[in-house]
Amino acid sequence: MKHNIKALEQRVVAALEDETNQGHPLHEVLEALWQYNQDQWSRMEHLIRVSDSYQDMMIQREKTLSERFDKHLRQLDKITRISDRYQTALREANLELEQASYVDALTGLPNRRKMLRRLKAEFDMRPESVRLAMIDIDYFKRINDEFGHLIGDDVLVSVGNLIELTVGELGHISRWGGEEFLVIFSQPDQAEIEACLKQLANTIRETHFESGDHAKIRTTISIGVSHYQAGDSADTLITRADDALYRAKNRGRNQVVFG
Amino acid sequence: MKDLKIVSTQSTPLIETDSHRGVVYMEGDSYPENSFEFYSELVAWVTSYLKDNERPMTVELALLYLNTSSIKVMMDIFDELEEHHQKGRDITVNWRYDVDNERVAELAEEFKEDCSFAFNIIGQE
Repeated sequence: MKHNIKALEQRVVAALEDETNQGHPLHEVLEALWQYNQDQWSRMEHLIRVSDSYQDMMIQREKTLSERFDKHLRQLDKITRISDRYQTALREANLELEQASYVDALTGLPNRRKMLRRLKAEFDMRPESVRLAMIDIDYFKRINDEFGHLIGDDVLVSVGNLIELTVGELGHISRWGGEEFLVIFSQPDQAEIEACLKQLANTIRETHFESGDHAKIRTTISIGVSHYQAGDSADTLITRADDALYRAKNRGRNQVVFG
Repeated sequence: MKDLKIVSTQSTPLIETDSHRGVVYMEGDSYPENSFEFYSELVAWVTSYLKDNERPMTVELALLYLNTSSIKVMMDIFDELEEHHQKGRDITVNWRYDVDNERVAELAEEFKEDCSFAFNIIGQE
């Protein structure tokens, strides 16, 4: 029916304008109806305009909201990424610090702290096979006094390297402090350990350490060894190695004493 | 306009502002317990500086580690700077880092990503 409306409108307008219809009783009624119809049309158009602009507003609002949502999502994504990277950086820095806290800065060997941890672990696992060797460079103060601390440090590093090389797979070495090194053996064969330590004492005795000028430095080491006995703790084991070392020093140095 | 001078602590950075030169300076680590509260004065200062005048603004940073909420605050500040830069404001960020700590530079790059103003990441010996 809709496609006929234009034609119908034209017919109504034509009928209203037709001179011969003027004065006809239905003319006035048709004119009033026509006017009413026109008013309804214009109201309808107004309504559509208002409704359209509401729809526009809603679409606009949804667009703004979704843009804001997208922006927040992007921001969240970026924050998470940056935060994760900070955490990774911190974790790495922590690990580096942890590593450094177990290493002696001069010799690069495990330090006393690391050694105590290892000793505790060995003690928890198999205390009966734990042996300790406390190694001290003889008359080290003289080297420092005669050649200076830098050369003294070089000798320390070299002695440390030689101990590590000689002990090899038999045990773990650490710088215990000053010119003292502590080796922990978890090797039940006493003869093998004895041979290793005697060879170590020989090696040090025969080594010519660099002094910075033509003179070469010679030195010796004293070693005190302790072996687990019933009732021992890590502390008493260390103390007995210390005592044995003390005896080695008293007996003229350059020797291994088993406690 | 009242300038800020907040001394650094182990978990919060040094913060200084200079409204005459249009400079914000921050240095240190940022792990406040409540970042939004800690940074509220700075955020207010930045907003008010940008509202009150048309002069350029420079942010000098020497920040090391930031916790997640500090990252959010910094991103919000950079977003605000970006908005004003889009309207023609002269904005510069100089993020300085120790060349021994490349990670700081990599993270500064992440922040720089969405900024179209001058964002310089400067390594220092």
